[in-house]
Amino acid sequence: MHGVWALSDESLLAGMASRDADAATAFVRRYQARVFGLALTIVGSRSVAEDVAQEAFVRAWRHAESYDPRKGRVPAWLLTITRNLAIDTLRMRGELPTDPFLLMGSLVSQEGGTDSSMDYDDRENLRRALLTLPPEQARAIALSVFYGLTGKEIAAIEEIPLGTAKTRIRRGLGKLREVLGVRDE
Amino acid sequence: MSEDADCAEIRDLIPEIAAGVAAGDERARALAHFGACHECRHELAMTADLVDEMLTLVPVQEPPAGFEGRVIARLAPEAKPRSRRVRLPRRRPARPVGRAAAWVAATAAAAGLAAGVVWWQTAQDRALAASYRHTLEVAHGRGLSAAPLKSGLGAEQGTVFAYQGEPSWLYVTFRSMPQPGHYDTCLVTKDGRRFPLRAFEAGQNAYAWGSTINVQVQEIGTIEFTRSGVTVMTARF
Ligand SMILES: [Zn+2]
Repeated sequence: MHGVWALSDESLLAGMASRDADAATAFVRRYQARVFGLALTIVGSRSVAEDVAQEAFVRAWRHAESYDPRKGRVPAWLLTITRNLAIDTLRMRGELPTDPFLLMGSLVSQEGGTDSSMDYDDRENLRRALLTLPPEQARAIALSVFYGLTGKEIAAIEEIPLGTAKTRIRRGLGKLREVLGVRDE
Repeated sequence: MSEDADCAEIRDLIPEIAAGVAAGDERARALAHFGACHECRHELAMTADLVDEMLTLVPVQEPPAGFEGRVIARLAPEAKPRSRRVRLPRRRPARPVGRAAAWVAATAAAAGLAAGVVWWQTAQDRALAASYRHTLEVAHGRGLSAAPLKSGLGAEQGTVFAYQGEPSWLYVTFRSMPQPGHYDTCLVTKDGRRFPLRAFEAGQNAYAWGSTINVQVQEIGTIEFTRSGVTVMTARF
């Protein structure tokens, strides 16, 4: 094939761990739209999202060595780094999440990425399940998964008891898991 | 059975652990349990998988022009020297701007977007935010307001955010912990109507309080926190 551009994610990370700039360039090019998309979804501003996305790639570069394939695939690893940075940024700046409904709406659009571990049917099933979740469960999940709010914080925002907040998240996640079917560890 | 009780308690924590938001002590307690309990470990793995998949459902967005080059420019000083000809793509160098300039740029750019809710740290930022909010309101029919929450002596104790949406809500973040105890809260509209809101129980870790509201954000005059009948913190919109 053609040099670094055809390498697997894992090989690119190995290249980055050995400080190879070509591997880093290929890695950035492969994932920049995904990383920027997630950052923008969480922080809501293109400029702030660029800062977050840049930092995510810098961290991926610096921590490429510690990437452990047994703990998850590369996209999930990189997107988790991105999400955590975006949440930290929101908190540091004292910002509130964008409307969690808008966020959940964007998830069920058809423009999401394609290189997850799910097959097409699973993705469509997950989107459909998101659409059919009761809104209060969808909101609670968005606030937790994308905005990093704890059960306590969600309870405060939603003006509900802590137990109710936790139940909404747990029930919602349970329904979403059902549609993914049984998958081996 | 104590094992089942343990499992029930840990299952309750799993969503927060999978989402990466669990408190350190809870996480530590859960990890100890996962070491010994296959079922809970499996439960965590499945939930973490789901969280990962949700992150990958977010729509992709092309970053601003030159993004790749700016990232590579940041990595380049740490890259290993090459023996071959350097094949880094030619891109514009990293923005030679400080944090303050970046702020201004961020503000200007954000004004054109369906951005979310933004709180501005300094007076200068707030001035910029005024026009930003105006843009948001015109473009999207809803807006955010923020006001400092001050003690009787005028010390800034936190910030009240008022979000106009469905539902509208107030959210307060505290910069310094308020005195623990029970606070009554009240929204007073500009024309003097009073709406008691849910009480705030300040404890050791009370760094936020929130409530949905049934009035338009633009009608808010003040938010008052009252302790034993004395108004101890006020935010003026
Ligand atoms: Zn267990």
